[in-house]
Amino acid sequence: MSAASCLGELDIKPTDMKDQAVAFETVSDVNAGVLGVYAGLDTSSITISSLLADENMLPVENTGGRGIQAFGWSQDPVNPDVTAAWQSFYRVLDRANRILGVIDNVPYSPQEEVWLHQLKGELLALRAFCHFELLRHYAVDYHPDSPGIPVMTASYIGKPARDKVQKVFEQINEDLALAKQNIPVSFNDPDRITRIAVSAMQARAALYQRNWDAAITAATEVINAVPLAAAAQFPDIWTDKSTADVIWKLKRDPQDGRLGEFYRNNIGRVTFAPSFKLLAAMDAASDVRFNAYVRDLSPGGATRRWAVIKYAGGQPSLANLADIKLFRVSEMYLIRAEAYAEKGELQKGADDLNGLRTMRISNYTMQTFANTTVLNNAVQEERFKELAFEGHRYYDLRRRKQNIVRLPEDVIQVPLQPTTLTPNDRAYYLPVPLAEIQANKNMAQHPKYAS
Amino acid sequence: MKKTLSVWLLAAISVPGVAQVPSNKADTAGVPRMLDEVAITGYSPATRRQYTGAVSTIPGSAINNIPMASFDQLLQGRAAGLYVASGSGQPGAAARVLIRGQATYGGTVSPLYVVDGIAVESGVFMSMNPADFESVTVLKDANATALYGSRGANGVIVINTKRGKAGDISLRFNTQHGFSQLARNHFDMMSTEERLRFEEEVGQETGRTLGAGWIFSPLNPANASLPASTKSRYAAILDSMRHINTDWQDQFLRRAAPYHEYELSASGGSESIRFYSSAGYLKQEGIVKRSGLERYSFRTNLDVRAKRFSAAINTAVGYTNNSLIESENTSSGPNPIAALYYALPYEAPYVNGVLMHSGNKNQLGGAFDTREGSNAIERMENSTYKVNQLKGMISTDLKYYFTDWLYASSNLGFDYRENVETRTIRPGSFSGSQDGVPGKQGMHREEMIRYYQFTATTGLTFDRTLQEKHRLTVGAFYEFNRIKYSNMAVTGYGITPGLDGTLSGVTPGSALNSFIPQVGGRKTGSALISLVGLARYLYDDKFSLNLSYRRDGSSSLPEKNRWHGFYSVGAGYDLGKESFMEGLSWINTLRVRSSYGSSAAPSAQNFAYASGYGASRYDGAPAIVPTSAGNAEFNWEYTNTFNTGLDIELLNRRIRLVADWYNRSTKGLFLEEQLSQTSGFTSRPINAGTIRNRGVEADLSGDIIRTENLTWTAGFNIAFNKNRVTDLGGTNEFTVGTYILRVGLPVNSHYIVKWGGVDPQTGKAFYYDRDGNPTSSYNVATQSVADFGSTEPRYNGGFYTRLNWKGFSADVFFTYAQDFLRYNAIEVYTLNNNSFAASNQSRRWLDRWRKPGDITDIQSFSDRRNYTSRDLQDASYVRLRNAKLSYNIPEQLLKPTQFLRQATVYLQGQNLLTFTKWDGLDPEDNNGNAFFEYPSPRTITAGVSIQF
Repeated sequence: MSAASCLGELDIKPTDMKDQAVAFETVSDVNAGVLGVYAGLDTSSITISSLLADENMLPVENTGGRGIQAFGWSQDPVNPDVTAAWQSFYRVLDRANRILGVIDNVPYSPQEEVWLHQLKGELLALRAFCHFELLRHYAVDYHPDSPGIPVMTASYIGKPARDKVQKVFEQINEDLALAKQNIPVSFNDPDRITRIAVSAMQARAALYQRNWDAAITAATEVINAVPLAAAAQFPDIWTDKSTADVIWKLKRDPQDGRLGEFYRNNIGRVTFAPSFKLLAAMDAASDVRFNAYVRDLSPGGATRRWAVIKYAGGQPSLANLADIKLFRVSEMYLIRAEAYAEKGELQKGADDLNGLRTMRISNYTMQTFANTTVLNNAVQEERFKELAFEGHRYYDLRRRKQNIVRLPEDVIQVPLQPTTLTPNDRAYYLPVPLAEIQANKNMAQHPKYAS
Repeated sequence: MKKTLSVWLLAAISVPGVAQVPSNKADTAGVPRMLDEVAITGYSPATRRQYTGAVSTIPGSAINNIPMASFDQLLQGRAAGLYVASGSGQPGAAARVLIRGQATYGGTVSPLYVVDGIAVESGVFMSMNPADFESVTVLKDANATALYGSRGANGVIVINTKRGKAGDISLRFNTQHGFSQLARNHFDMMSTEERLRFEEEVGQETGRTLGAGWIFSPLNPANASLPASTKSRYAAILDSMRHINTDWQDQFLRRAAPYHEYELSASGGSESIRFYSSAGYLKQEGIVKRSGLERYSFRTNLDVRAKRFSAAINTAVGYTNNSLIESENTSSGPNPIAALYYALPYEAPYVNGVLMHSGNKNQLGGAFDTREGSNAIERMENSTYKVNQLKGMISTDLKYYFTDWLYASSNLGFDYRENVETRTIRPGSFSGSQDGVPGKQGMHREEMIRYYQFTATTGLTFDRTLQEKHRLTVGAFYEFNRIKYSNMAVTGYGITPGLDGTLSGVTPGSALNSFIPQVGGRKTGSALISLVGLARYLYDDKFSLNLSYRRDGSSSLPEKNRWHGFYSVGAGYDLGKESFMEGLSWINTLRVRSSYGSSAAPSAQNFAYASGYGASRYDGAPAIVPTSAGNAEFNWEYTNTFNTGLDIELLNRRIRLVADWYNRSTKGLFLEEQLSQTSGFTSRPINAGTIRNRGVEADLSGDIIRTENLTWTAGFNIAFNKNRVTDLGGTNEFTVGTYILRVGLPVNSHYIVKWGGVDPQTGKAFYYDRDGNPTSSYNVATQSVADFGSTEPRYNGGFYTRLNWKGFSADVFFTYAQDFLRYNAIEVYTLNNNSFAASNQSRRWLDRWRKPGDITDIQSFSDRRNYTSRDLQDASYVRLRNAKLSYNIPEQLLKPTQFLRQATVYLQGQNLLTFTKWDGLDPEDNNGNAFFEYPSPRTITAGVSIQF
């Protein structure tokens, strides 16, 4: 039919798209691809934790019904609030794998060698981060022999089954170790993954693996490199005026989705307020975190109107626009304190916990902890406060198989809502999206959702 | 080809049923013969006698001067097998048009639209004036689809516009005026009295606070120990609220939205040059405030004929100014249709003439309601959403006759459309100063969409009658079709007060003022090359044989699958012409015909086959991300259709019947194969599976009385279509929301947990599991069933009757669609116990379960509300689509004026009655979900048409 082709042109190329085959021809292309991986990361870990755990209460102002299914502990495999993370983290993982598959063939000049290594290291760390997030969300539980999530180390269309938790962690550990070798120490952009951020990832991964020595080693690397924010700096972290404490954050531009809108929507309605449980846990006067995290919007009014302001942003004209802090050094103190507690090294653990509290609470007096349980409970309570609305609480309870317990006043707007969720309950876990189960015959639903 | 003129004339008056019989010629000579109708006009014109395919013809008289701006809506019920479903009642909105069922899942469903031989964009009709249409022909089977090749896989709608007739120049002026209102006022929300009592009862039953009715209630335990003065103040508050009963329909709807239309046309000419020229102006206000349409349209058709040469030159330009409501078809508060439901009846929007919205309510003394109605009014008044559309169609059809029976033709045409869509929110308004508006000082968005389609068809046609009995038509054509689409959009912020509504009011953005504008756009296009061959043979007006072959190449497929051939064969036999039938003189025509052929559609997306990277950004820098999975094996979607039909005329051609049976099988469906999301994508385009549409159509019409002064005709058409997914080709069945694609079921089958009812003892809802056992648990993933049918009607059509008596005529036309269910998703908001209950609720709550022993279908207020088959409702309807009374002023009265040739006055109504069980404003929709959509209006107009 070539004769016909000359009578009219059929060869119309896509105009808004770049073919995969020519997408990565220079290191600069790879950099654009790596930025595309970062661009895909979202904040579902934070919102899922806020919806399912005890950090938030459902206020009467949430008339749009946003998130109420998950908040009411009746999420199902088609509920986007809890299933979107599956799609989103695997999409980002695949983006990283696509580039990792071709990165070794990209030509580079000697001056670009360090840059290319850095990019490769970032991709490996991003892959590890995604595996870790998927595991935290969707593993049946965190026991090494339990079914975890499919490990993906290459981009392909397949029907993979769940790998064991242990295998997922092995891949995470391997990727992080390799990432550390590739990323140069000199690279220090907190909006991207630096070598110290890889250490922080290692510390968090070790915590979930209950590998206390590794957790201590990795956390120490970070603690030694990054100081805790001073009390004066602390509020500025959340308005992005300061990067104290911050190891890695997701940069948010005005056009990006705004996490703050999850808590208070763009017409000013509080959709998820801080829980009374959390408010009661912090002392408003002495704890620098209280006023940085929450605010009463009608201080003189007849009823309190609490709002989460951690993501409200620093510019009134760009409400709810704030960078997403994914790793902060304070978490490292808490990881190390927990690891020491579990190892029975109570004094070292107490030092870390007291060290953090001293920076956050004015006129704090050092405390001693009688045994591992007391110290560990204190560490968990401190995590609840320090890391509130940062995507930790729900997973902390899950990894320690503890009940989720809410106060009755936090669920007053949900009819007949129980206040305790135990590891025996379905809603304690997250379902794999129905679309995945339908498309992938090898994928087993979480047993609690299987019937 | 001298017959061209008479062919046009025949087409105008020769349609079964609606045939206009000149009142002074009641003899049979004036009755048109069904088989002489022009059936197709595409690549080469043919009469029904020559043609073996299934066609329906709608005369211009059925669609001219009906007060609806988008002509596709006028086709509803006019042709058997054509299903037209309007999704929105906004003036100018296009409908969903389906010929013989949905034969695809992921591809386009809309037919090909051809105006004067040139393809035009589907779904964009508001700038076209249907008064210019001479006829609309619906081509339904393989003969039609194979000839149009890959473009006609969903059927073809062929429009011929009016042309000048040789003779005196005649001028025609038509004007009509009237009003629109809600077609069906089925609105069942609580009144103030009911709402306050409901809030109080819910407070008593559950302790929950839904609003003022409980906050100030003397029964509320929280108020028990208040001082007497406070108690009496509370009583006074409640008492004053009881006197408010806002009718929100008054706030958002127009009770009588004006309609005005003017149209002037001229036509005439000589044998060698003829013209038709028209100008139209239409102004229609919508039934929802702020919506409306204003259209200016012009058309000039010119026919030139020399000895060996003829040319037809058609130009049409339309300009439309369309105003739309905010956020239609969403549950968001600014959608006035949603606000109509949400707003509390005890909310008074105005305080001393000032609108009290959430932004100023504290200054104005506050309110004890949600202000949802007032906020929507504030938004409506301080924002705009306009579409300005410019559409032009130009075509030139040239023919050169080498001999009487051989000519070369070339038809070149452009279809051009430009939309400028603007949305603004005024600075300083409450809407313009919310967090969602960067910089909180209003916004202005302007989007420009440009669409252009070029078609060129060139070929040779041989058309000759040999030895008086053998008529042979053979044609060969080359066609090139190119479509380009681009859009660009700019959204700016920080609007200078007084300069809202224009880009010049936008303040340039900086990192400090946060007025950073958003800029976007895209570009796409496609090309199609075709080689077409056709042959038609007619023997002694009895036997007909049609053959066609077409080879298409499409740019929207990967190179190796780009070219494909399609064919069709058809045969017809008119027994009425046989000598053995001569004795049966009451049978005028008895023709059987049959056809079989193939067709295929290329993908609806231009580059679905390609995988690649698109633009994104991170940290202020450009980034690339994979945007499509692609599929290098992507192929056409193939359709094979068998059709067999009957054309019958009886009793001196008083009774006419056209009936067809078809079987249409579409293979290699465009499906989105659901992927394991571990691949980075949720789906990719593939070709898999088969959908079969099988059905029967009949179009019956008759002249019941046919005398000089009185004629009475009636007609009826019906189409049954059985749609089945017969195969999914190894891919898994999958669900999309509350629908499933499953072998053995129709596409768009409902898939939802089956509602069991309400337990009279506990007041809790119960459901059924997949084995049909009642259960109190609700799990979408494990309990959903597909027992409820689909969103498509099992049968649909129309019927009419027409009475002419002297100068008077009366027309009544009904349309219907039967046996299908749709979700009434509005009730998720208006019949819910979650936070939605703070907005106004359906009166159905009044029947809820309250105490053990209550038998009801509405569960206790404290039971969780789940989405179930209870939300499916029967959307079958019968509509009095049009009723028209008209009177031709007798010639004796016109003669003295010297210049008036004809004058007609008329009164007509659209959507006058709707018979349905549907629990909502409008049963008709273009999808399976009722979701705060703009309902269809009822329009009543009176007009006059003068010819001079």
